[in-house]
This record gives sequence, structure tokens and C-alpha cells, in this order.
Amino acid sequence: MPSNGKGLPKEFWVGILFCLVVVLLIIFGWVMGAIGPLQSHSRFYVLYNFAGGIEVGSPVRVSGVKVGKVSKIEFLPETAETNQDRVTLKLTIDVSNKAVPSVRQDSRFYVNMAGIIGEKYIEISPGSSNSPVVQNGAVLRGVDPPRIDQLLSQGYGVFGRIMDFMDENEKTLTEFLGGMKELIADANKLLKGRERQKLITLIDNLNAVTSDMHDLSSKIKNPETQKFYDQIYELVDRAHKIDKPVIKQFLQEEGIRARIF
Amino acid sequence: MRKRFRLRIHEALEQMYFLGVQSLPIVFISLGFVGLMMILELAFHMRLVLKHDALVPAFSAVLMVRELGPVITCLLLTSRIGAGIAAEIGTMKVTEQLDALKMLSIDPFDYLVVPRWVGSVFAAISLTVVAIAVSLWGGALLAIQKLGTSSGEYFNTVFFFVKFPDVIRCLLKAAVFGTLIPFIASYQGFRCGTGSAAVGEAATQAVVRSSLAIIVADFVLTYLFYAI
Amino acid sequence: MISVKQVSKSFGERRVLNQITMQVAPGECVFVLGKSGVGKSVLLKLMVGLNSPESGEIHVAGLKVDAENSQTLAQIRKKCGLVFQFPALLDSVSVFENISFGIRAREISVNPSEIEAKVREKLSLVGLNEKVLGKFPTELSFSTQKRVSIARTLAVEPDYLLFDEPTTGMDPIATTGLNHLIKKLSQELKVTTVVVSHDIKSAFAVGDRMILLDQGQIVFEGSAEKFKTSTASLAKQFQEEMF
Repeated sequence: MPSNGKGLPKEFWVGILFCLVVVLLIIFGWVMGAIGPLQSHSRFYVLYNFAGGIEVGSPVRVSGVKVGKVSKIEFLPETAETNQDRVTLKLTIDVSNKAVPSVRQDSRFYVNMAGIIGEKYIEISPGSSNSPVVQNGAVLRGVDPPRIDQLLSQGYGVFGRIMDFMDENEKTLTEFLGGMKELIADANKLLKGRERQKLITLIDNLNAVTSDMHDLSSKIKNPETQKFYDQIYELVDRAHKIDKPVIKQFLQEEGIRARIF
Repeated sequence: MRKRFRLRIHEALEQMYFLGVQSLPIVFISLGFVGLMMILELAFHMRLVLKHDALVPAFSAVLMVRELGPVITCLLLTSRIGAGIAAEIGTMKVTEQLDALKMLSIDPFDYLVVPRWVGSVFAAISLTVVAIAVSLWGGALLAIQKLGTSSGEYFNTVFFFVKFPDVIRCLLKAAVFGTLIPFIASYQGFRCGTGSAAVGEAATQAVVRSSLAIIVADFVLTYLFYAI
Repeated sequence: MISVKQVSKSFGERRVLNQITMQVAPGECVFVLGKSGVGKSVLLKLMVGLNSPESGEIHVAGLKVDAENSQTLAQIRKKCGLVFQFPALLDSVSVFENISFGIRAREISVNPSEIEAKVREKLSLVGLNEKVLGKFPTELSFSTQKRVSIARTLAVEPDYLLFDEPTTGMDPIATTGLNHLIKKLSQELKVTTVVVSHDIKSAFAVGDRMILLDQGQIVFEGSAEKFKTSTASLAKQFQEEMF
């Protein structure tokens, strides 16, 4: 092939352009996460019931540092492999090997949101150091994110039921409220009317009675009374012991013959 | 057969050099400035409507990868090569070179259209990739200077919105446009009348029709890729 | 053997060929004469299927020329060489490439040194030296381009040689050289030759037979001797041109 006059043949420049394009495409693929260096990732499976907006390609962070991405999202059939509860989603995540030692058996997998664009990502909390490191291919249970939508809808449900109840029992409730109102009005009248002085006297008398009662009970508690109690107790105890044979013996000793009971 | 195939590779390389390598400067400059313009323009719009310009890099990148990258590049390519191909083939027809090729048992389609097609598709794809790289890079520079974004933030937002499948679709678009240009231009050349006026007319028609075809094809492809 | 039977061809309203019937025997050299624009070039193009007739049939080497039948057409074209009125060289490649194209395409030879030898041989046949080989057609004068064009046609070693105005724009010495070449090819290699021309001198020098076309019809057909005594008005005009 003839040269282009600048010394280098056309094939050279076409080749340069081709290489440039391939390199740029590799860079694009790399930064966009479509391709990654081989074998530098470990793969875990995380189970969720609700993924809260996670998509294939969503980042995975450990302690806030991006270390991988979600590579696959699968729906599990009803009979899912789990010993705790029924889960519906299986997320395959690839985590850079340098971050794997931080991922322990007791690490937790949260679904978080970052930035003003609301990027969803999986945050892995580093586990405790005495827990074993998660092995490649392990299946772990993720922490389902709070379902704000569900909470809202439940709240709506409760509120709705209250409304229904009130609608159904509107008449009874009105009557009930009316009765209460009358009762309060009567009580009010009673307290404010002519009977007011009588009520005050009654309360004063009650006061005096309780005061006397108080004196009485305090007198009962003093040592004199205690002694008196003890003597009575002793007496009663002795009296208790006086049964049929004892009385018979006493009378015989006195020479009295009597038929007892 | 073997000889003929080698002949075509030689021709194709010539075309790849002419269409691809020699179009680099124009694409570099044009798309670089388009990238800059988009940052400024979108910043204006976003501030006007959203009172916030954090999404400017992302939106400009999405627009660039999905539409402007391949379309502007291929429109530039059309203006550079469409007229040339039509005029060259038209002239060859007028001066009986096409008949001469037939008499030498060379199929003019094989000899003229196929290498141009290979070269044009190669050029369209390569130039689009370069165009996107240049416009993203130019946009990054301006965003960092003007909007106060950090480069990390810029590329994070950009690559949150632009995914690799978008790049693949963009290259598919470029390949389709790169096919349309030589086929339409060659067709205009082959059906060229006699005389230099006819050659000029063929060249003009080639550019007009290729440009039109690219814009219509872009709509169709965007519809197929994203709207279905 | 080329046989043309009742062939007609029109361009729009203008009928350029009207019921033409003629034959060219193997090894014969026939000159088709006529004024410009009488359809001489069209006749040549019809013979190799670059144009299709409206009616009538043309057979070359026993094969029917049919623009629809690309296989037969390719076979016919392989046997034919056509030298165009304008050089019709491919401007994007060198003279060497132009001449060697056909050799490669028709697989006459695949050996590079053999191809080069053939190119040089054909170049010397048309009286050009090797300096032009590396040049591009646009760098050459018209007459040199024309000679390269003839060399290109000869390089594919055709059984049938068709010339469209071969000597137009050539200097007298080159014209004489070309006439000798045509005669030599026809006599020594038994190449069947059809020359379309308005150069009556060349026709007398080389042609075995002459056909005179006027207004779409053959007005004279016969040898040079017969032509000199022809009473047809156009033949008379050509005679005046000659002497």
C-alpha cells in the first residue's frame, strides 16, 4: 500500500484509531460497571422480601465505600431455601475481594439511599471480628428496608376502620354523648345550687367522724392497750384448754358430782 | 476469489483511513464544543426550572450518548463524505469508469460500495466513541470550572445515568447511520445523469438525503430502543 | 463470431439504431464508420451488454447477450475487451494498478512477477515506457491516458477487441503505431476486432471490411476497395475527407 506521504502507512493510522476506540470502550465498560477485572470479585447471595428500589447494577458499599454491585435479581419460587421465613428475592452481589474480610457472618445487609438523585445501594455493615468471614457463594439474609408505603397504607387502614365504626354507630354515639352532657349539667347544677351549704356541712361532719376514728385507732396502738390485749390473749388461751376432763377433774377434787353436758 | 477479497481489504483500508482517521479533527473539535455548549445550556435550564444544577453533567451525558453523539458525528460524516462518494461514483459513471470496471469483470458494487460501507461503518463507530469521550471530557472540564463540581462527583452522576447498554445502543445507531451514508450516496452516484451538472446534483442530493435519512432513522431507533 | 440481428435502440424519442443486422467473422477486423452521434458507440456497448436493445438479438461467441442473465454476460465479457472513447481509467489508483486490475480480476495470473511482466509487455505494445507505471491517470496527457487504457484492455488478452474511437485525440505517430498494433493482433493472434471510428484513414489502413452507419441504418457494407467506388452520399463525403 502506498504511504500517505508522511512516512507512516495508512494501516498504521487506521490501527491507531482502532486501538483508541477499543481502549475507550474498555474504559467506558469499566467505569460503567459492565466489565470488571476478572477474578477479583467474590459473589454472595442476599435474600430479601422487599428490595426497596434496588436494581441490577446498584452499588454495594461496605462502611460507605463502594466495593461492588448487584449483578442479578431473581424471584424465588414459593418454596424458597431458608430456615427462617419465606423470602421472595435473591440478589446476587459481587464484592471486591479487598472488602471481603470486612463481611462477616453477622454482617447486616441494609438497603440505603444516597445523594439528591436518590441512588439506592446495599450497605454492608462490617461484622464483629470474632464472627467468621463470609465465604464466596454464601447465601445470607438481608435486612428488609422499612416499607414506608406499607406503613402508610396500614395507617390508612386503621383510620378507615375508625371512620367505619363511627359511621355505623353514629346514633348510639350521639345518644351517649347527649347523656354524658346531661349528667355533667346536673352535677354542675347540684354543686352550684341551694343544696351547696348542706353538702359543705355534710363534708365537715364526715371530716369530724374520720378525725375521731383516727384518735381511737391511735389509742388502740399504745402500750397500755397492748398489755390489756396480751392478758386477754392469755385468758382466752387458758379458757381454751378448759375442756370436759379438766372440768370433771376440778369438780371431783372439790367433791362435787355433776353431770357435765 | 482470494485475490478479489484482498483487493477489497486494500480498498476498505483506504476508505477507513480516509473516512475515519481524516475525519478525526473535525469530530474532535465539533463534539468538544457541543459538550461544552450542553453544560452551559443545561445549567441555565436547570437553574431556571429546578434552581439546582447538580444533574447537569448527567443530563448532558445522557443526551450525548443517546442522541447527539452518534447523530452529530454522522451528520458531520455525511457532509464530509456523502458528497464525495456521490460525486466520485457519478464522475466514474460519466467518464465510463463504471463500464470499464464491468468490462474488467469487476463488480462496481463490490469494488466501490462495499469498501466505502466498511470504511463508513468503521468511521461512524470510531468517531462516535471518540466524540462521546471528547464531549464527556470537555463537559467535565467546564463543569468543574463553572459549576464547581468535583471530577469524582461529575463522573459518579454521569455513570449513574449512563449505562453500558446505552453505549452499545449508541454504537448500533452509529453503525446504522454509517450504513445509510455510503448506500444513499452511492445510489445517487450510480443513478447520476450525464455531465458535470448532474454530478453536482447527485452530490447535493446525497448529502440532503443522507442527512434526512439519519434524522428519521434516529427517531425510529430511539423509538425501538427506549419507547417500546 | 459476433452476430447482430435486427437490433433497434432508442434514447427517448430519438431512434439511434434501426433494425441493424451485421456479422463479424472470427479474426476479422471490421470498421464501423459514421458521423458523431449515429449510435456507433451504442452498438459496441450493446455487444457487451452495457446497454440493452429494445428489439433484436446479439450473439457473441455463440452466447446470447442478455443484460438480465449476469452469468452469461460475465462469460461474454471475459472474452471481450472494450477500449472506451474516453480513457475511463480509474483515477484513484496508479497506472500499474489500472493495467493489472483485469489480470487479477480475471485470474489470468496470480503470480506478482508474472503480472508485472505482462503489464510491462502491454505497455511497450502501446509505445509507453515504464516511467508512467507509478503515476496516476490525472498526471498523464490525454493521449497517454488513452494508450494506458488500450494497454489495460490488451492485458486481459481478449478474443474479441472492441475499440471506440481509438485514435481520437492521438498524435499522428501514435495513431500509426496503434493501427499497426490492431492489424498485428488481428492477423497474428486472430483476434476478432470491431473498431468504431470516424477516422477513414485508419479504416483504410487496417480494416478488412467497413460498415457505414447513417440515421440508424447501414448505408454501406464492404471492403475498402468497394468503399472507394461507393455511390452512397455519406461514403462520398468520407472519400472527400480521405483524399
